[in-house]
Amino acid sequence: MLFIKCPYCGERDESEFHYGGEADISRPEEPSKLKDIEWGNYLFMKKNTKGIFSEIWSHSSGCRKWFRVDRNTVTNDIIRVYEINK
Amino acid sequence: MRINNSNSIDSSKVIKFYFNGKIYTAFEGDTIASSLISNGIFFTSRSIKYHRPRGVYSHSFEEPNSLFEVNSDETYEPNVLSTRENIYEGMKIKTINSWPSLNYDFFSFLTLLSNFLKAGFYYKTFFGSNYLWKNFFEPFLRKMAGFSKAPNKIDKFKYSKKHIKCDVLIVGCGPSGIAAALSLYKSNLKILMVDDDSSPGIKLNEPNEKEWFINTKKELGDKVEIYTNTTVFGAYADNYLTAVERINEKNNRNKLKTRLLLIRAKKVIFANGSIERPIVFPNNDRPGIFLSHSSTYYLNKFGVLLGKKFILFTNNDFAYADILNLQKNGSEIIAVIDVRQNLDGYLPKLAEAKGIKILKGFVISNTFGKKKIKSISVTSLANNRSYNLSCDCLLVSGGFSPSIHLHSQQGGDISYNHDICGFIPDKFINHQICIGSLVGKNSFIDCVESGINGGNYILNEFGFKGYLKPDLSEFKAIKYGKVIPFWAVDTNAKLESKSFVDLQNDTTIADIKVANLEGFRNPEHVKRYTLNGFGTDQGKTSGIISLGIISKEINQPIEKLKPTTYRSPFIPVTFGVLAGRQIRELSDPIRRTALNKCHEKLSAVFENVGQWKRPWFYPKVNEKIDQAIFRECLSVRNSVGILDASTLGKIMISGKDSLTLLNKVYTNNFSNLGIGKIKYGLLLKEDGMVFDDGTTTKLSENRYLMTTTTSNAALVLDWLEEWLQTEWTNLDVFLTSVTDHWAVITVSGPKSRHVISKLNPSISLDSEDFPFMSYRQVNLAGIACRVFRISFTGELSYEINIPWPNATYIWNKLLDAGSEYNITPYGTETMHVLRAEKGYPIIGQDTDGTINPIELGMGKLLSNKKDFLGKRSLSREFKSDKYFVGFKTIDPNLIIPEGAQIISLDRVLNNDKENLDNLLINGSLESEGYITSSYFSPILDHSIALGFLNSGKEKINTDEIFYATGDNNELIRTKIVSPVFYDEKGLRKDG
Ligand SMILES: [Zn+2]
Repeated sequence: MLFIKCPYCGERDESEFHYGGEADISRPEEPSKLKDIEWGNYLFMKKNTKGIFSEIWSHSSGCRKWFRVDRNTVTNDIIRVYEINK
Repeated sequence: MRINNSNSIDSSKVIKFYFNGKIYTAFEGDTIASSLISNGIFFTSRSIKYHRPRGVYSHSFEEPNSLFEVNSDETYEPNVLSTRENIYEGMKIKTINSWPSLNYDFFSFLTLLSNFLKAGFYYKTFFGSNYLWKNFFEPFLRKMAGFSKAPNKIDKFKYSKKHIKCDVLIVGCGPSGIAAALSLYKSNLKILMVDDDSSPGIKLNEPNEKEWFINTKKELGDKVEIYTNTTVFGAYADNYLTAVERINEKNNRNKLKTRLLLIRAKKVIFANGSIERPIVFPNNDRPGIFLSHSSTYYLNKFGVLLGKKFILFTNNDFAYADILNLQKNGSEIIAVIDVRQNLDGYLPKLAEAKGIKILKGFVISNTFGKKKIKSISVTSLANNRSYNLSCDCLLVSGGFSPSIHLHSQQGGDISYNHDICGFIPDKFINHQICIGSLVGKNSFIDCVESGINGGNYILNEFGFKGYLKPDLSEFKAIKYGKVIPFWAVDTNAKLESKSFVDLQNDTTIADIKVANLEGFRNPEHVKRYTLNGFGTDQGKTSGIISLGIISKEINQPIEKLKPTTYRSPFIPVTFGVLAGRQIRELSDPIRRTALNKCHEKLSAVFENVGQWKRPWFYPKVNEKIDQAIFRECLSVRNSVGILDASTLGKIMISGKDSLTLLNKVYTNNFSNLGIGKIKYGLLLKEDGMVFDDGTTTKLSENRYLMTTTTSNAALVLDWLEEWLQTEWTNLDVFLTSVTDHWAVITVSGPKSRHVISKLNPSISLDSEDFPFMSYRQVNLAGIACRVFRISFTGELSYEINIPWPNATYIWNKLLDAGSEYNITPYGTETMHVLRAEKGYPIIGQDTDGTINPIELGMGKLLSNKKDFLGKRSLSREFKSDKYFVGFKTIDPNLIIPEGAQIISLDRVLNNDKENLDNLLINGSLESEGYITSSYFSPILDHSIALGFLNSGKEKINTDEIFYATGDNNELIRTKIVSPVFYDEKGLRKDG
C-alpha cells in the first residue's frame, strides 16, 4: 500500500486516497468540432506510461482535494506531489 | 520422549488434551506437535491423495503434514498447523483426511494405485463426462481427498488489529536480526522487531553463541520493541507490512486469538532466515522422518527427543551440528549418510572424532516401517552396493533455502547462489535490506557480522555517523565444507512414484517427470499440472527441489529457471485475522435516518440501501408483504401517504458561478430557472451514458440545492468536485453535502394538501400560490422547513425538508394531522410500485451505465443550445434503437420476473418452444429486450413492467405480442405500451 503525501495534509495511507488516472487530460474546448476518433481519443486513450508518470489523486477520505503525483509506475516510487495548478 | 524441561514450557502446568478422542497430557508452552511427539505419537495423519501414514515433519510454518481439526468450547478450527499452535486445556485435536479412523483408513488402498494416479490423472479422467463428474467422481473425490470441513460454528475467539509506525522494522530476531538491532538501538530510532517463533535463537547450540545472544537481547532492553510469535505474511509498496501475532493462551482472559499488525516502516531489515529443505528419496514420507534442524528445535525448546536411534542424511555440514547436539544429550547416532565423498569441514571431522559413523558418498535408497520408520537401505554412489540400517528417527537435510518470499512478494529480483544452492535476493528494494542467512550466510559469526553491517548501513541512511564495531574475536570462524546440489536420489521408475517432492500434495518425482514429458517445462506450468507447491505450506520445503528435478529433466541449469511467484500471505491467514473486530454490525457503518425510531414503532421491515436502513414496508399485525404493499399503494392513490425520503442525496451549490456549473453538467438548460423554482435534470458521464438524475432548486441568487439518488449521493459529489478542481478551476463554486442536515418527509396523495395546511393554516397551498415544481420556505408547526412541490408518485406531493433534529416532531404532527384521512406510512417497495405506474425510471435499477438518455425516452431533455458533459458522445451514430417501454401482460395476474428476456412472437413460433433454453444459449433465438422493473399495480389491478425493447418506440400500443421468459421456461405473453401506465396526462399532480 502506497504512502502518499497529500500536499495539504501530509503523509497518509493509500486507502485514504482515490486514484484519478493520467494528469493533463484536458476536456476539449469545443467537443462538437471534434471528429469521432478525436473525441474517442480524449475519452479512452491513455498513455499507460512505464516509468515516471504524472497522475492525479484525490484525498477522498481526508481534505477531499485533488492533487498531482509523479510516480514511477515500475517501482511505485513517488517522486513528487504538488497542487493541481502548479 | 521428553528428557528435560526447557524454559519455553512451564512444567508446573500440566495440560490435558484429546487426540482422536484419547486423553493425553502436555505442558503449558507446548505446541500441538511437541505435545504429540512427547507422548510418542508420530503417526498423526494421512496424506491427501494416497492416504499414506504421515507424521510431524518439521517445527515451523514449513510443515506439510500435520494439519488438524481443533475443537474447543470457543470454536471449531479447520487445518490447524500443529507446529505453530499452542496446546491448551481441553483442546480436542482430530486427524483430517482419514476415514473411518487414522489407523484403519478405507482409502489407503490408493497407495497401491499410485502408478495410475500420476500427474494429470484428474484432468484426463474426469474431463469429458459432465454427468459422471457431477454424480460420481466429485462426491467421491470430495470424501476421500481434501482438508478439514469448513466451520459451521460461530467462532467465539476475538481478533484484533493494531497499526504501528516505526523507523526500522527488523523481520526476524535470530542472530543477524539481533545484531542489526545492536547497531541501531542507541540512535533513539523507533525499532520494531518481529519473530515468527516464541523463542528466537532457540536453535543456537554453542554455549558462547547462546550467551552472546542472551546478553545482546538484554542490552537492547526496552529500547527495542519485540513481537514474538508474530509472522509477517505480507510485504507491500512503501514498506507496508502485515503480520499476525498469535496471542499466547497463557494469561489470555479475553479470548483474544490473534492481533493483526499493520506496520509502516521507514526502513525494513529482512533477517527472516532460511528454510531447511529435504532430499528426496524413495518412501521419504514415513512418520519418524524429520528435517534435521527440527531435532535441535524440539530438544532445545521443549526438551523433547524425536527418537532414540538417529540416522542423518545430508549434503551439507550444518546438519552435523544437530546430530552432535543429539549425541551430547545421550542419543544414539547410528550413522550419518553424506552424499559427499570428500568432507573437509570442521563439523564432520568433529563428529568422526566423537565416534559417529559417516557413510561418505552414500545415499538412502529406500526406507521401511509401516506406520513409523524402522530401517533404511543405503547405497554407495561409487559401487552401487546396498545394505540396511535400523533406526527410529531419520533426519534429513538438503541445505537451506533463503526465505525470499517477502522480498519477492514486492517484485524483488532474485538470483541463484551456488555456494548455498539456493535463490537469494539480488537487488534490495528501496528502503530495505536483507541480511543473515537470507542472503546466504550460514554460520553464526557470518550472520552476526551481516547484521552489524546491515544495522550500520541503516544508521547511515538515517544520517547517523558512529558505527558499531563490536569485538567478535571470541567466535572462531570454523571451516564449513561445500554444500553440493543434491535434490533427489536417482532410482528406478517404480520407486520414483513413492519419492515425494511435495508431501502435502503427494507430488512425486514421477509426477514431475510426467509433466516434463508432456511438455510442461516452465516451473509455473509444472506447479499447476502436478500441484507441487500448492496448499497451506505453499511448497516451502518442496519448491526448490522441484526446480532441481526439472532442471535435470529438461537439461537446463537451475539458475536459468525461476521459482514460481510468491504472493501474500506467506502463511495461511484466517478470515478472522483479517476481519478483526469489523464483523457483523461493525463490518460496515450503518446509517439511520432521524426517523428510525418512528419506523421501528410502526414495526417497519427495513431494507439496506447502501449503508442506509430504509423502511421497506410497514406490515400490520398478521399482514403479509403483498397485502401491506397493496394497502400502502392504494392509500397514497386514494387518500394520503407519508414517506421518509431523508436518504436522498442533497448537495448545496453556492458561489457566483453555480449556474455555469449546472449548465455544464446537466443536459438541460438551467439559465431560465427562477428563484423558488425546481427543475428535473439528467447527469451524463462523458461517454454519454446516464449517470444520475434528480431535481435542482434555485433557493436564491447563486444558491442551489441539488438532489441525487440515494445510492449515488457520494459519487455525484465526488464527480462534481473532480470537475471543479481539475478542469474548471476558475469557477467560483462551493459544494457542500447536506444529506444528513435535512431530513425529508414526503406527503403524497390527493389529501396531502389538507394535511400540510393543518400544520400551518395561514399559508396558501393551492396550485396558483404554490405551483408544481416550486419551492417555499414555510413554517410548519413552529419549525422553519423547506417545502418542495415535486412528485415521484404522480400524486399531489409535498417534500418537506426539516432540520434533522426536528424530524420526529414534524413526523408525529403530520401523522396526527393526517389521522382523519387515514394517513399511511409507506416504504421503498410502495414507492417503487407507484413510480413504476408513472413510468419514472430509477437510475441504477432501470439503467446500468450503458443506457443513454435517448434510449431512456428523455431525448427532449438534451439541450441543443449549449454543450454539456456527454453531449459529444451522443452525436455519434448509434447501432442500437432500444427504447424504454412499458409491458402489459395479456394475463393481468402474471408478473414477469425482473431480468426476463423479451422474444418476438414470430421467432418463437418458428422455433421449438420446448427448447427455449437451448435456443437462447446457442443464439438461434435472439433476445429483443429485457425487463428492468416489474410489479403488480394495485390501482390498475394489473401486472406492469418496465424495460428496454429493440425498436421499442415503434412498438408502443401496437397489437404485436411479445414473449417474456418466465420462470421454468414458461413464456408470458405481453403487449408493449407507454411506460406511463397511470394518469398518462399527469392530471393528478395538482390534487
Ligand atoms: Zn489531504
